Amino acid sequence: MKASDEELIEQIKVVFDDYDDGLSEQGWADLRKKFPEKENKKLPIWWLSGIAASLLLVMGLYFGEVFNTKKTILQNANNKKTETPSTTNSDHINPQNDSISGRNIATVENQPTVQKPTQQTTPFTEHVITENPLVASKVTVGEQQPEKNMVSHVETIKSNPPTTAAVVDNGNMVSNTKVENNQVAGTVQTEVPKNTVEKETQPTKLSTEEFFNKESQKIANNKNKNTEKNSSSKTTLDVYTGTFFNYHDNNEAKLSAGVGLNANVKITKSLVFSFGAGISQNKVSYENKVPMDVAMSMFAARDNAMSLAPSSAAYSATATNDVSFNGQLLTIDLPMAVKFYPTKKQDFYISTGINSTSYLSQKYTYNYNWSNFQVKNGEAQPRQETEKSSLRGFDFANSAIIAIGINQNLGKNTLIFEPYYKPALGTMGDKNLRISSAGLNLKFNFNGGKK
Amino acid sequence: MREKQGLDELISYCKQGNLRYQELLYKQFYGYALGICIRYLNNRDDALEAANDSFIKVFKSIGSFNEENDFKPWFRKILVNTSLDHKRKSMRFSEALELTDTIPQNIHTSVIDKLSAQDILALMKHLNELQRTVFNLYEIDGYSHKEIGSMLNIPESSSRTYLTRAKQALQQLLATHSIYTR
Repeated sequence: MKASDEELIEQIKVVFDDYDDGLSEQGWADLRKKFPEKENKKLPIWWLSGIAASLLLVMGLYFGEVFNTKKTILQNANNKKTETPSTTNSDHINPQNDSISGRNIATVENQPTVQKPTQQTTPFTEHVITENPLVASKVTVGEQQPEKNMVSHVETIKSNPPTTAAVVDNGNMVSNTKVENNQVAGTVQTEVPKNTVEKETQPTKLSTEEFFNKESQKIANNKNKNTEKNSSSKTTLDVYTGTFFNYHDNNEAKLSAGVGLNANVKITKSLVFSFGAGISQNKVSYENKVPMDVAMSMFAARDNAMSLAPSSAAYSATATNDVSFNGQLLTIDLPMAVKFYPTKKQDFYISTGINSTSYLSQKYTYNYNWSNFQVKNGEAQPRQETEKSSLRGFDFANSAIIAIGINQNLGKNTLIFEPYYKPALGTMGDKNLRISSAGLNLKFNFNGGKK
Repeated sequence: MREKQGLDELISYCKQGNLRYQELLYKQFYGYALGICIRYLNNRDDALEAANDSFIKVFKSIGSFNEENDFKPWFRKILVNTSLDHKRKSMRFSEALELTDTIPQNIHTSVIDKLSAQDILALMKHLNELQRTVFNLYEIDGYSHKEIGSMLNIPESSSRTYLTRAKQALQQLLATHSIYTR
């Protein structure tokens, strides 16, 4: 190969290795026409809201279940306590009843004659059996105590009215309690010799009724107390999750999310003071109008890079043409707001307040192109600088809160859809970003102060 | 090293489909891509179209790119193949320029050194499409005659012939050029 051939080939390689005609912007615009941005793979906000709502619902049901279980246990415990005296009442009964067999364990039989009370007591019987095993407790007493206690039962039976007779068969079996018909479970009939004659069971019936009445009374009372508690409860708690858009100047809005807890203190019937804390991730992206602080940091980084170059004069940066800036702030939000319920139904509210912010972490990324035009084959090189900090900074009242809450009752608890707008009152973070946001909070409100 | 790291990071963001980084990659390799495509297509608009198509192929298939390898050779292959596809589409294999003059023996190297991209493109325009393509593939982009044969669907020997003719033509054109520029 001739020397001139080699020279030519070398020259072609050099010349065309970076054939930049300075129209890359136009080229990119052409490419974007052919290569439109893919659809955002992120879930749309409605999906996110739906997921958040489902989570809240599950949490709410879980908490509700926990509270209900506790209440039931407490209620059962109370019932047991109140029942104890009823079993010991038998001690007052005349111990001199000779007709009582010496058998300790009673067999409870359903007597066909006991129709009336059976029907009347049916609704309560099941409740008594499940919640308060009165029969069992009586029988236990019978098992453990000899004749004396058995007598007491019989005495009770004696005093029953004639309409319901308790037939007691002497010599019948006395193993474990055998309840053949739950409807008479409340009426404990004890085996006694036949010659004791059928006794009127009115007193028993009455006592059963009384017992049921008492029980229903208690249940009713409990319910009333709870409702009173609920209605009079001054503090409630909200668990919330929110998805929102941060926006700033003319830049693209970024989807962010957060979770938190609020306490609501009732001031008047229609006014509630709400405060709380939440964690949220805020993403911002600046393509235009980079804030002054950010620009200064970025140019400082660029200048630093340039100073590393062999000769600063030979280097020229084009950062101002290809600037982008991304920020990621993990924040603790401390909202304080007043909620006003304009209607008696209290099915929606208007809320206004302030939000203060503390920062768990801050990450700022600057991207710019750094070109070397004076050296042959110089290529525009993307540069990226990152700044990070954690647990630093607090901005008091850096945004206002304007929100509307729409309540949706879920049993005792409430699901609240709260669209909101937070205009920036101040700046955020180390770079003094002025960010406003708008989004949707999904709150699950459950009553506090259960104890 | 730092440059390689920067490029790797850029590529990894492009793999995530980040448009901003795709744009950065585009702008970083715009000149490189256009330089290759224009050698084959000899027309800025066609070259830009081929370059953009190549970038789209890159963005779509960058997930399969192994970052342990160099990006440029991988991208170069895409650019060359896309340019050849465009050439095939247009099928503008023009007639070879009739070169009747004798080939000058010596061309001063200072003339070659001063050749700009436009000069070279102007020279190449006088070459037959196949001659130019073979010259580019063999001399500039480093393909073998065997590879060229399979790429252009021509016999290997034809590739050699086209290369020889291309070189002769360039020498002659350069001589003419040096006369004009002297």
